[in-house]
Amino acid sequence: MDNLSELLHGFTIAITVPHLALMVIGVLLGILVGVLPGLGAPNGVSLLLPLTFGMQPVSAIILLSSMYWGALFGGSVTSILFNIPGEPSSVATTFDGYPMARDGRPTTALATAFGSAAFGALVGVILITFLASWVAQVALAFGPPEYFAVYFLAFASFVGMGGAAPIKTVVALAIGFAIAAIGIDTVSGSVRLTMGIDELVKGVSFVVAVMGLFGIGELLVAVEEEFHARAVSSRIDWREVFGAVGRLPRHGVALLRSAAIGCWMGITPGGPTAASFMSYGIARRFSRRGRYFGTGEVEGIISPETADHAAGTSALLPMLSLGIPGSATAAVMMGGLMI
Amino acid sequence: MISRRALEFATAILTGSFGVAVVIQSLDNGIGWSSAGVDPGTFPFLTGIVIVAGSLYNLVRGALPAMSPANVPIAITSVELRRLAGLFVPAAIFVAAIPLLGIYIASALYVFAVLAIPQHRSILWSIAIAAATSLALYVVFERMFQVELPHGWLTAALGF
Repeated sequence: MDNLSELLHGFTIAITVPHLALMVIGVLLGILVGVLPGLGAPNGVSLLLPLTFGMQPVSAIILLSSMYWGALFGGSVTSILFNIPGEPSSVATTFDGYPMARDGRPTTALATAFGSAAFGALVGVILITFLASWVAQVALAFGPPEYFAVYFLAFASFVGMGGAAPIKTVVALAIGFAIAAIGIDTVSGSVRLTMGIDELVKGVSFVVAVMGLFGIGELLVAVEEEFHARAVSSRIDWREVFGAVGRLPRHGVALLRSAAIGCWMGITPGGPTAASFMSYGIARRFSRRGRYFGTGEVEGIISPETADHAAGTSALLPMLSLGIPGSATAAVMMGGLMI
Repeated sequence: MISRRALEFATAILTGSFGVAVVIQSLDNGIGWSSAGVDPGTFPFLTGIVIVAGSLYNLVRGALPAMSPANVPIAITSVELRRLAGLFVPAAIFVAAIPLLGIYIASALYVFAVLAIPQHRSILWSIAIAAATSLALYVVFERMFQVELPHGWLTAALGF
């Protein structure tokens, strides 16, 4: 129970007016940088890092973690409203979030995403508090073979459970691998697949890939169908917000399962991206309404969002206890904490 | 008008040639095992093989008569094609013009052309928006974020 009293002590420090104000500011700033597709959580947090230099350490940690969560959630907002993920881990949210928003239920989609994100993060926090020392040992045992197994499972579940023709999915996956292999190989240091073009030595950045594959693709589809922008309007109806959050417990199994997947992937540094994809794939496989996935299913939003945020939160655990960041954003944050 | 079958063909050939490029390029890095372990070209080589094989499969499958109910014969009608070209062609010209004119002049011209020609806005209004766009780009990127955007050969030749 030592942990519990320390957790409560932490709350008494955190719940003071200036700290609460900092949290609000941090989350808003985080959502702002998360919503901008080019920026994403790691870049955004590093941009905002200088703000914390003049602060007390406690305030700095509060501001940084609020920005971290804000940025994680901001990525989901653009996924749902524009079908343009703000960061890799919210790609899986577009599969059901965007169809639901286009269906005229953007508020429900956003509220569902937010509710599941909160649940995932909460589970992550509880886990961090109670299991820190035990989990640290498990995380240390996670090596290259385990990474390979986790990602292989995530990709294989995508081929097997995707709605499109499996061979086309395989080709698309392999093209993704090939694009990721462009540039300097991190293992051997040799330059691959550049065709002698100097700009490619750095590789293809995520921003470029997302803008090309999601942004321009979405624009072309919108133009093909009708000549006006089809960003879904999102007038917020509070009854709908509370209704959507209130309906979350009905999907309790999906919530718990996704939170478990997310925590596991966050601790063993598989990261939020693998977690959200795997959670989506597994939900699709086990849900009774699995064949409706991709058309705006509630569980299709819950699963990736819960796992994403559970992983995002528990990624802080290896960082705080071992100094090994579980995600790129956590790595940037660690840089901030060390100063 | 573009038929579904032509689209399947084109996509398969496109992905297939990408795969061939990946395979050829990865041979430079060596495939197989050496004293240092797996050669760096092995993984791209294998993904390239997968891309080529999958593309061939898609090519053959696309050539066969409609096999699934989802196969609609016409993928893009001529009206839709014209709309797509209306977005794509000016954008392609814009991107091609950036190395020559620099991003500020090119984006001003692009915004002006897109507003003045298909939307039939007044010339004055289009010029104002175009100038404002370039100015906003300059202020946000060069001044606030200190990011150098491409200035282009023309502006360089003029001494900026």
